[in-house]
Amino acid sequence: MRWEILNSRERKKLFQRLSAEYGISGGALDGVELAVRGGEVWAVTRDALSVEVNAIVESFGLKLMRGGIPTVAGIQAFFATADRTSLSAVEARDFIDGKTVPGDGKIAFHGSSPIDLAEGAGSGLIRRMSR
Amino acid sequence: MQIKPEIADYMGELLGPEYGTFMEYAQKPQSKSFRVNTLKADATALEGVFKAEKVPWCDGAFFTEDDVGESIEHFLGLIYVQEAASMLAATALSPSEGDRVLDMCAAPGSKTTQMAALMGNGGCIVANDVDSRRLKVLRFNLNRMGVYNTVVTKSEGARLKSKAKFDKILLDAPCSNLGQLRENQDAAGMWNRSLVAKCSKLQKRLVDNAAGLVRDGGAIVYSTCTFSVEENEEVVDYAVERHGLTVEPITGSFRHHPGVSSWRGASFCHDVENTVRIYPHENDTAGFYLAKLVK
Repeated sequence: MRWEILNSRERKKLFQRLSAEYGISGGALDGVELAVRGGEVWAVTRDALSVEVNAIVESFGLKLMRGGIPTVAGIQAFFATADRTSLSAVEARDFIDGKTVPGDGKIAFHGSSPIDLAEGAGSGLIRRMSR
Repeated sequence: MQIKPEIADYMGELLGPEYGTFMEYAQKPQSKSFRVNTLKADATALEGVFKAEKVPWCDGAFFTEDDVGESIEHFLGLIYVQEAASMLAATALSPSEGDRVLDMCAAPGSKTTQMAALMGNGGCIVANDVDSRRLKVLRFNLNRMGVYNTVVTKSEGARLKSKAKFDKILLDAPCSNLGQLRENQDAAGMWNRSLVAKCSKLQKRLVDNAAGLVRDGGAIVYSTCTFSVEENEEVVDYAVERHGLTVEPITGSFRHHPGVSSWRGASFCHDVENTVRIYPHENDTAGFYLAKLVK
C-alpha cells in the first residue's frame, strides 16, 4: 500500500475539520507533512519523507489519525491549543483509567499537556479511548 | 546470585583487584533512571514531581526510587524510563537538527527517542530493526514520545542500503548482554564463549555495513551492554583496521575504564584506549561499552 502526501487543499480541509471539531488553532500542524495510507494519517517531517532505503517501511513519523479520529499520540503531540478541560493529577489519573471526571471540553488536559479525547457522560466527561 | 565459573574467570581476569567490588554491585538491584522528554516538557517543569537525583552525564536525566513507569507523566510521554549508562550513546553521537541519522538496531527506541529529542524533531532518523515484535514496541514508543522525524524500517542491519549516506549512525549492537546482569539474571545464565563468538561475528558485519553507509567525516557510535572484549575492543579494532576509521575520545562526568589494549594473546590498535568501558560499580549503573568512530 502506497503513502500519499496530502496536497495543500487536502491539508487545509483536514485542518479545518480538526479546528471545527476540536478547536485546534492555526499553526498546530506547521512544520509537518501529512501522509495518508490505508485510512491512517501520519505527521512527518519533510526530511524523513526523502528517505530511500531497501527495506520495508513500517511507519513514517507519528500516527495522527486512524479511521477519521485523532490518535492519543496525535492529540498529545499537536492538540495543545484544543478546546480543553483541565484536570488535576487525581482527576487525570481517573480519566486515564476510564472513570468519569468533572468538565465539558473536547480534550482533557493535565497542566499544559493534552491527555486524550473526552466525551460527555452524565454530568461529567469520560475518555473516548481513541487510539 | 550464583555466577557461572566461566563468567567469574572472565571478569576476574578483566578486573583484577576490582572484581570483588564489581560482584558486590552485580548482586544489588539496579537504580532506576529516567530522562525528561524535551519534545514535550522541560526538566524544570517536572522538578519536585519525583524524588530524584540528576544523572551527571546527561542533561534532563535523573536517578529515582519512585515508580515513574506508572506515573501520569510517563503516560503523557513527558518522561522515558531509560538505563542511565545507555544514555551516553546518543549523547556521544550528538545528533543535531539538520542531521540524517541511522539507528541501525533501534528497538525498543530508548536511544531513538533520545536522539529525536536532541534533534528537536528536525532532520530525520531511520530507525531500523529486524524483529517484528520489537518494531511494534519501537513504533509505540516513538508515538508516545511525540516523535515525527523518524522512519521505521524493517531489515537486517547488515543488509540495509540507502540511496543517501548518513551523517551519523548509532550502532547499539545485539550482544551477549552481560552488562544487564543486575537487572536480568538470565543474561548471566545465557552467557558463554559460543554466544560471544556468534555476537562478535554479527557485530563485525554490522560495522562493515555502517562504515559503508556513513558519509566521509561522519560518525558512528558503536555500543554494547556487555563486557566481552571480543564484542567490544576486538570489533573496534576490526573497524579501524578494515575501514580506516579513527576513534575519538568520549568525555563527560562519568567514571569509566579505557578500552583494553590486549586480551588473551590478541593486541589491539592504540585507538581502542579512546573507547569507554563502564562497569556497574563505577557509577552504580548497568554495564556499557561505547566507541565513537569517525570516517
